[in-house]
Amino acid sequence: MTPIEAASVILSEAGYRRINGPLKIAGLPFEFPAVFVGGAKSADLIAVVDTAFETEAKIEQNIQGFARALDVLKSRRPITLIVTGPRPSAPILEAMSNVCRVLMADNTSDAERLRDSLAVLLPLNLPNPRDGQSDAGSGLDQLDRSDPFVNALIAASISGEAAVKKTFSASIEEPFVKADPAPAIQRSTRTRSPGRKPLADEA
Amino acid sequence: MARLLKRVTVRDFRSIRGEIAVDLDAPVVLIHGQNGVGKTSLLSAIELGLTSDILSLRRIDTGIMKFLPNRDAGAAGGKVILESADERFNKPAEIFVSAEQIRGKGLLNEQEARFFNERCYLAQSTLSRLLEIYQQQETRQSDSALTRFVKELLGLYRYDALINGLHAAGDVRRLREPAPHYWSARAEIAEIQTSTESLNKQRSELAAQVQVHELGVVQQLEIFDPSLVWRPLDIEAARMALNGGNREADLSKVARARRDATAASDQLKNLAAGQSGPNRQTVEQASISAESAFQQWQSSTGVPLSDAIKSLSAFISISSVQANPEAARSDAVRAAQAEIARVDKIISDDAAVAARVQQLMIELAASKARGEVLDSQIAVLSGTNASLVTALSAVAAHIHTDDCPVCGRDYSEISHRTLSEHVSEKIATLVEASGRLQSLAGSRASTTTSISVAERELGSLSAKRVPPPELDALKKRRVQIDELRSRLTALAREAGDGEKLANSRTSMARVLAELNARDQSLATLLAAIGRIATEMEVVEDGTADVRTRVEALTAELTKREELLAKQQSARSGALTELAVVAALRAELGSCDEAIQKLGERRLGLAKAKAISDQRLEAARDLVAQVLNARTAVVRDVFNGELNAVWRDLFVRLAPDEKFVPAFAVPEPGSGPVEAVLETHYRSGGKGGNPRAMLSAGNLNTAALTLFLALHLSVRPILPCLIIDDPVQSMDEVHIAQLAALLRTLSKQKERQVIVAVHERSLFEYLSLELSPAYEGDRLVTVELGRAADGMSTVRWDTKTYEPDRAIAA
Repeated sequence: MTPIEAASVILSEAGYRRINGPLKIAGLPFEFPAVFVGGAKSADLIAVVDTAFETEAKIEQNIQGFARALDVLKSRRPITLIVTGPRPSAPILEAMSNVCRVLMADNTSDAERLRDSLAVLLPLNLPNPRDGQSDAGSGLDQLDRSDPFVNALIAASISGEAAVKKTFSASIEEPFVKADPAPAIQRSTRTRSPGRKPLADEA
Repeated sequence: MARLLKRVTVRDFRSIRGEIAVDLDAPVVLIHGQNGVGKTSLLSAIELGLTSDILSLRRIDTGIMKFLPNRDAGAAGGKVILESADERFNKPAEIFVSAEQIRGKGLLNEQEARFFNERCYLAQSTLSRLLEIYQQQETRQSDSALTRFVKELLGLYRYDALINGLHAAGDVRRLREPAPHYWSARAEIAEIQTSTESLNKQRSELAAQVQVHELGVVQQLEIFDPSLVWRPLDIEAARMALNGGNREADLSKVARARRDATAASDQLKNLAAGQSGPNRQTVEQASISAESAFQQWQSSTGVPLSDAIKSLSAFISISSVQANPEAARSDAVRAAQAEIARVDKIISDDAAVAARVQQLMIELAASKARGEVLDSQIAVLSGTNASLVTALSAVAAHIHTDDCPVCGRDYSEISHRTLSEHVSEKIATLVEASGRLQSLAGSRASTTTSISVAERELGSLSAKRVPPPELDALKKRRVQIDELRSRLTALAREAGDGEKLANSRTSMARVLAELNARDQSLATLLAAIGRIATEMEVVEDGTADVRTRVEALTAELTKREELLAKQQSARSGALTELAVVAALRAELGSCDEAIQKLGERRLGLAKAKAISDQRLEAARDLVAQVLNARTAVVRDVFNGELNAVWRDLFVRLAPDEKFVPAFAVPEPGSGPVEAVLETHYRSGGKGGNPRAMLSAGNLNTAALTLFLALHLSVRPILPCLIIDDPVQSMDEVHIAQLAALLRTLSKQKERQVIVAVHERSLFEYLSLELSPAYEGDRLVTVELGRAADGMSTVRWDTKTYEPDRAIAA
């Protein structure tokens, strides 16, 4: 499979329609090894060339003319030139870039690399989107909270590390503090500091 | 899905002066304007209208709010009205801003606002914040910018709060500060263990000592009073018995009796020693014979002596009657001699007086004769008068001529001498006679005195004279006494004999008296012994002799005294031991108490510690669970999916980059999971830190695509992307790719895309690239500017789909 054909396969799969035969714009014929137009919601016009078969100068000349012809017709289709084969010289490449998007597909033997080179033309396949509000908290809620001490710790995590530390040390200390026999966990729920969010069991 | 943004009206807000209204009702809105005309202000206005806050700016400067109204706007302040095409927001948001406050409510709720801020609006500040992630050298640092970003993103702070907050639970040593009671209780339990052991040791030592001293008490009690020995030892009873059993009085009584008895014994010994002299009978006989010999002497040889003394005593008194004949004789002789001397003196004194009287009589007669001579001479001179001399002397002073000053007669008529001579001679004569008369008178007076002296002595001497009869009697008496003296002197030998006899008699009588006295003593001694025996209730052998009795008594009393002394000593020893036992028992009691207290304290601490330990265990479990859960969350987020989206987006924008950025996918069981950035070779295998591996432009691209990946990897609550000038430091290739990507997002993913750019050519390029491509598709281009008076101007244009005439689709 020639590089042009390989690219053509990918583009076809992506929903681009290949225009068969010589492309005529305002009566002028333009010779490109393969030309594609976009599908339902795309106005893209894609030409695929191979510097192995044509000189870069000819390609450049060709694409310049193509772009000018479209401009004359006030076409708003964006042009993309897919260049397979050896990379054109810098001035040629720059001249090409001035009139169209140039995608280099110079290593087409690797299907994956080729696909990467054409990626910008390909539909975006997204994985099943997750909920934007992360379920981070739900992981905590799934923990066993039957122990009031553990429950207090998890509840305190809303207020941050310091609150967890405070709850933890108060609970560790509580059995030793005989002066105030009220358990630290209960105490913390009664004397709520202002601005603190209520604990889960209070809500 | 309805478009979120429909229209925004902005008045005097930040760099926008005056009022502008921009239509946003299109899938794509392109905003162009030179720097400073208000692109970012317009986007901020949209943010304000949505969230009633401008977090994107507040992240940079918390004091930004007071600069929200345009500085030239005046007191009215700024205003933003935002309309949404979404039916949910049927009422436009109207927000008023002044330097003091923001008034009005944005369209979005809190959750949506957060989503918007984090995943929809890529402000330039946010982009630079994302870039920070890459600039962080140590991505493993727990508080790196990336980690913060990720934690905020995932709400991991609660996990971290638990994990870090319970850090102390991991190691008991960390509890020292947060849980000082727990910490000290651990040490205290160990201390209590040690203390209890040492107390137990002390206790057993004390118990042993108590036994020893109780045994001591029993031993002493056995000596003191065996009946008091009972077991177990009742300290109080024993003490009472001992206190009541003081035998000191008994002891001193016995001791006194024993001493008396000993003294009696000693006396007896002395008496026995005196018995070695002459026996009584001999002495009595010798006494009688000495007495009779003396009496015989008195009635025979001693008679002349006694007669002589008797005769003498008729003349003179003899002071004492001596039993001793020789002494009596000597005394009498001495008395006689003294009397003779006295009489002799009286006689001789009287003779001397008589002689003196004779002499005085002669002197008296001479003196009287002289007196008579003197008297006659004085009579001759009696005409002279001393006063006449004085008078004449006074008159003489007045005689200057021979005329008499007294009678006036001329003296020269009668004498050839002068009157003055005559008076002076008269005066001289008178003065001479006066001297003689004075001397005669003196002699006469001394003569009279000597006569009276002699007469007075004569008188006193006459009184001293012994009358002659008396003198005669004295002389007779002297003779008689002298005779008696001679007789007594001659009796010296006889008197010596008598004296010997008297002496013998006297010594015999003394020996007898001594014998009598000893007998008396013995009787007294016997009575004393009997009294002691009776008093001390000692049964005596009445038949035994005195010495045996005394010895038996002494022995008995000594025995009793020794017993009593022993008992007393045992009593005091027992009391001492009892005190020791009581003290030891008290110590033992307090020791027991201390042990019990320690035991209770330890029990309490152990109980408390058990609870705390249980909690510690629970905390450790919790930490482990949270770590697992956290790991699960991180793993869940930083799975291949995010990386896949990111990679896809990054590859689209930088197709030539060999590396792609990625979050390290956490390996199972590799400890705490952090969000770590790395790069991957596109062909596979890991690269280094993105900062080291990627060019600046590609870093920017990486940040931009991370933002887009984060937007795309979750359910689109708000299908909207607002990007403020994203192309800074992007090369043209990237820009072309970005345009394609934005188109994909808009057309394929149906996000409303609002992009602000400041570069004209880019604006033109994007306008072309994002042109409406199908029926119903639209593009709004907005050009912001500023009029000459500084008022903001806006020109916006809506492009709709036009079928392509060049190439039919």
